[in-house]
Amino acid sequence: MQDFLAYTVLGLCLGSVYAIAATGLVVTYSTSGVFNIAHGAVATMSALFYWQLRFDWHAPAPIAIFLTVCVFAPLLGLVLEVVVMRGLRGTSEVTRLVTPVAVLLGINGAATWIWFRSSNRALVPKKFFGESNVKVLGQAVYYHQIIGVLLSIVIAGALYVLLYRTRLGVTMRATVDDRSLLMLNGGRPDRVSMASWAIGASLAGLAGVLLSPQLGALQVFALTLLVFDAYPAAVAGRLRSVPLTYVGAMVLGLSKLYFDWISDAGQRWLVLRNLRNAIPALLLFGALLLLPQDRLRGAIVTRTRERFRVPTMREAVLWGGVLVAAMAMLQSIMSGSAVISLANGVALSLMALSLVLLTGYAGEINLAVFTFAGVAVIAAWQFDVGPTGLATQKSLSVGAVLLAMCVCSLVGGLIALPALRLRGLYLGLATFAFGIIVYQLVILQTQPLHFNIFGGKFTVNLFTNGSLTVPRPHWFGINFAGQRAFLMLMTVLFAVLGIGIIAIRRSAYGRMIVAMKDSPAACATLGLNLTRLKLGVFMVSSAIAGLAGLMWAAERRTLPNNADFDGFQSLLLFMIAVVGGIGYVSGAFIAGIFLSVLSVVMPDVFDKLGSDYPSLHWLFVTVLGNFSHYVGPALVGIGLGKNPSGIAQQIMDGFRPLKKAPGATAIWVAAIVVLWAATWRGAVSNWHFSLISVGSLFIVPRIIMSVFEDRFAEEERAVAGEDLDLIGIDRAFRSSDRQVLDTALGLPAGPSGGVE
Amino acid sequence: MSETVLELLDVRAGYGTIEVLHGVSLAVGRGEVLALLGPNGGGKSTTLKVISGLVDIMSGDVHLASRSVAGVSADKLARLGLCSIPEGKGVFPNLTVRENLMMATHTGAKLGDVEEVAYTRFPRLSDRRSQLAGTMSGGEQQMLAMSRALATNPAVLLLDELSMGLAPLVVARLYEIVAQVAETGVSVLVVEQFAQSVLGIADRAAIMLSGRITRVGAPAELAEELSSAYLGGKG
Amino acid sequence: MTLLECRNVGMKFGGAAALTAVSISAEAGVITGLIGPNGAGKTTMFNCITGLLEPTSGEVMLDGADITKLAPFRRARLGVARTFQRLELFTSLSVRDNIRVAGEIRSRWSKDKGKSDTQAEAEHIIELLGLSGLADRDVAEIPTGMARRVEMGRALMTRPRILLLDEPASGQDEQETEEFGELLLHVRDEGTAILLVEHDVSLVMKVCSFIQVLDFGCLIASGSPAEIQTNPAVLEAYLGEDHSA
Repeated sequence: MQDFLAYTVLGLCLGSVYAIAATGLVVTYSTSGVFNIAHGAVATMSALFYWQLRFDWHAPAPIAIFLTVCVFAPLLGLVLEVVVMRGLRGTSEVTRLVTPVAVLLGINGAATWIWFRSSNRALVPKKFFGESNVKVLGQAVYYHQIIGVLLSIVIAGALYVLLYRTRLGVTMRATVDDRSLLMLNGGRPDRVSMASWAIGASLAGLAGVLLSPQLGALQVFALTLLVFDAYPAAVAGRLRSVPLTYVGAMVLGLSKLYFDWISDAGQRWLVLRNLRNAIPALLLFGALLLLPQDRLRGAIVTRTRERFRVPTMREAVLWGGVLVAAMAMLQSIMSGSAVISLANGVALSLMALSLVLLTGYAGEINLAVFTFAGVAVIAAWQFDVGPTGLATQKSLSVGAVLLAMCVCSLVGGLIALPALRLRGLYLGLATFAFGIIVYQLVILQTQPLHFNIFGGKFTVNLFTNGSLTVPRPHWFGINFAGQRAFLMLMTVLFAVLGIGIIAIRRSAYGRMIVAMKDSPAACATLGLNLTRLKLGVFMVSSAIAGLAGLMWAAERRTLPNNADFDGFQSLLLFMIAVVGGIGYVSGAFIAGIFLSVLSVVMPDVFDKLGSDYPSLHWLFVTVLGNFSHYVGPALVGIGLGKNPSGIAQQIMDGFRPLKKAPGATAIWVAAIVVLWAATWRGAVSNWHFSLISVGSLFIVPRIIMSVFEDRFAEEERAVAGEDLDLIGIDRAFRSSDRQVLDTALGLPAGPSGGVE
Repeated sequence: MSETVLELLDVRAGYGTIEVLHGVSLAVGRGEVLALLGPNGGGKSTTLKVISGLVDIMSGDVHLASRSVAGVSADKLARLGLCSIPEGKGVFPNLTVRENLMMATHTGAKLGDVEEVAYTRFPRLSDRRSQLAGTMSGGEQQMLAMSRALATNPAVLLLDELSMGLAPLVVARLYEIVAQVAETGVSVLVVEQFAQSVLGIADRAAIMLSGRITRVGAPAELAEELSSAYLGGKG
Repeated sequence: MTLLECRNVGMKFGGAAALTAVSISAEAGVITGLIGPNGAGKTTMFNCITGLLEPTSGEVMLDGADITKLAPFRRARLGVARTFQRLELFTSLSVRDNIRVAGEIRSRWSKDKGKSDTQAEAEHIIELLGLSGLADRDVAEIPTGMARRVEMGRALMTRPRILLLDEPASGQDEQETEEFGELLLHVRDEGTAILLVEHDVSLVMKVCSFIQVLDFGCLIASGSPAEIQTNPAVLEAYLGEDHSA
């Protein structure tokens, strides 16, 4: 009993800090509709800032805390709102989920760059008042913890006063109620959003400072994950209710501490020793399942700015062939290390492909793609296991691949089934929670699991040595163990799967999937069983993820269990896939290459430049190299609000001029092929080849545009001529229309006098 | 007609690429009550949304006190004295009566004064000051919306389907107040699908069909035409 | 024969009653009108019939069977189809594919699985609705009036026994509305019953053989078009309280 009370006290202390963190999340979500995944990163940045002031520069604690919580964090929140979040209005739920992911990675990248770039110094945070404590119900409670409890109570009170007694707070609630009515009443929703982001960030900062002493030394992602633990509390409050969020936070804090109590601080059941870390994810999953059923959405809710064009089957097959041919040519002139990064990129592209079907077409979200890779590897091992494991096998057998796909498909169906009634964001969070649970309980598990089912004994082997080795295939009499052969195998696989996915999209099944995304309500009234269709899409996509994951693992050869499965990689891949163009197979390809290029190739290029030009070393390596490595991936995601349809769309638009000038295009392609031949023979270095060919990608369409200007102008005029009467009706009136009208009416083209 | 406060000049507007208003011109004078009537889907509400800045115009212009305000955001217009009560949702349902009134204090008015005026005008509201607006009856909600709108001392008042779902007595009381407000010099543009309730207080009426104004005139002149517009040629 | 019957259907949102014990019905083989002022509860009624809302009281019967508790897709499979007042088109698909996908959904659940040629049927319906010229356009870029026809075509692809149309003529001009009236009669003659919510009363008077009037969520009148046109309660609901003049 004594123990029970003691653990209860500690649980409530922990819960209080979670409450502060989760409340910040609620404040921003309820006024802006953005679930700020970057909340944890804001907390991390603030905790580091506080450490800098307090322990590096030795500022007094009150000043440091004031500067952190009342100046630095709110400013960070303000900047985020103004620069990033404001652009998200009218975008899809996917974009609104992904952009904060980019912000999270960007902030964490910046933090790593600022504090952990060079030296491996330990940044050790200390509790307020050090180890001073008092006994409460026989349990030593640190002053630091007491301060946390007091602050959470003060914050609860202050939020109540703000939201119910002040004009600003009431306006914040009014924004949630009816944004346009608020504008009709002269309210400024933008200012309200700014205020709520500042408050949310400030609460994140405070939570970060309070939580950070739990870590012996500050680490960027560890601290971010620590704040992630508070997210279930916000979901318990349905992202809107502050009181319910407090209740959720207390349940969370108490569950963790009660687990410590009954498990003897993790000593009792070794198999479950990671369960403590999985508790928040389990609670998150549970809280999501308890959410009430959504009413069927209609198109009004889902109407967004994203638009995706569907290629014809001919185009798909043609471009698939072009991809394979180009890859074959390219790899023949590339250095070994370049082939490795390219192979890595294609492997990631394969993983992103599963998201095209699931997210791009069906509008559902999976934030645990890498978890499926882990599951696939484990499943494949069960099939191929020899006396000493997978590593001794010469080839990845077809049976293992099929088993992995089946298992992934079943697992996908299994998590989707309870989560199917959830809507976009909540479904995304559920998959994320699932990923964390599998990571903590399965992937980090090194002991084989023994089961006794119906008298038979089964053993499931997991990542026994902390890593698994996956052999490359030896199929159709071809050995794909070599890097180049394997790259080609993956490229062909990508082309085949990509064509298959486009075929699905063009089939009746694909139309139903898209219809389901556009208007679930209309689909239901046409007799479509949404649950079955969604489940099916989830299972197919999971199977693709499994296959892709296996290829990705085989590309890596040896897969450690602690690097890629903690959730961040899945978030990153999802984000980049959306940036690439989630509705396009080509978008998935761009995403994988992009990810590999940004995190590997760009820093390499800057390193090379730095050693070539030592006087500019600081610029290339210290600034640009680090920047592209740490912050680059995030920057591309942050720009998403401006162009939610992704890079693939932009590229296609950029190359449209080529269609009008087939002759010039043929010459250009021929020139590249000649250049390739020259490189192959060794007459041109591959460094110059890539420089020229990549450069021409950007320049040639522009040249063609300017050379054949007449042709384009003519076409535009023809388009405008068609609907002269409808100018300003079918689309907004542009100043260029005036000229068109003037020409049509035979008016002299005068100076634009009198127009504004 | 006295000086024109609100004027629409050949306004074309719609949603996305679909045009709903095909060249609408209207003028409301100072202290005038203009009733905009017509069947549903005719573009009446869109006209109000255009004026209040929620829908962008494609061509034409909107003048407020002789200044062009096309493209000005809704919140700015509200602060310029253009106040509107949208159809069926003029209150913030999850705020209390008091908090709803608080939303009118951005002009610098004191909440106490706003409350006093509101409760004198509609005594029923004073009993409900801490009740959530969404839980009140439709009539009380419209009283609240009207109180909040008037507390900002608007120059122009836009009312969309004030009578919708309300008992005739309540409608009469609300329009009585509209008439009083107009007396003080506020220009009022009232949109109604059902004519009778508003014709009594309107100075002029306009009929809108399929995105065009088809008739403007004194209420009495239009009364007969209205019947045919709604019930199909019965006269 | 009574095909669709709603008995004492009530619907409350929080404290506000949108429908109070409304009993309406639709006969097979005819067009039934459901009219009433804005906010009278017509769309709510449709939502209760198609299952997008579950009524707080009362029953919905289709051909004598109680369908009140059935999921929306089950009702659709029993032959209830609808259009939406606020358009619910599949904006990623072309006009043709919007109509075609409805047939494809149908061929997943109907008994004559795979036997029917959905593509040919879709072309037939596109032509019937006068959408041939727009078939390859994106639905997002066609005028509202035409978009409403696409919704109707989509609903027809499920070969419904009863079709609920929610303001199908709004956004269509006079000429188009005229043609649309003929179309409704044609659909009726092909054997589909129609329950029509429409603000263009002249259209309603022309095509409906029976009309029911809602006001404030209550049924205030029902009868033939001639009866409705002279019914004092209807005139009052439409024109205000003192239309005795």
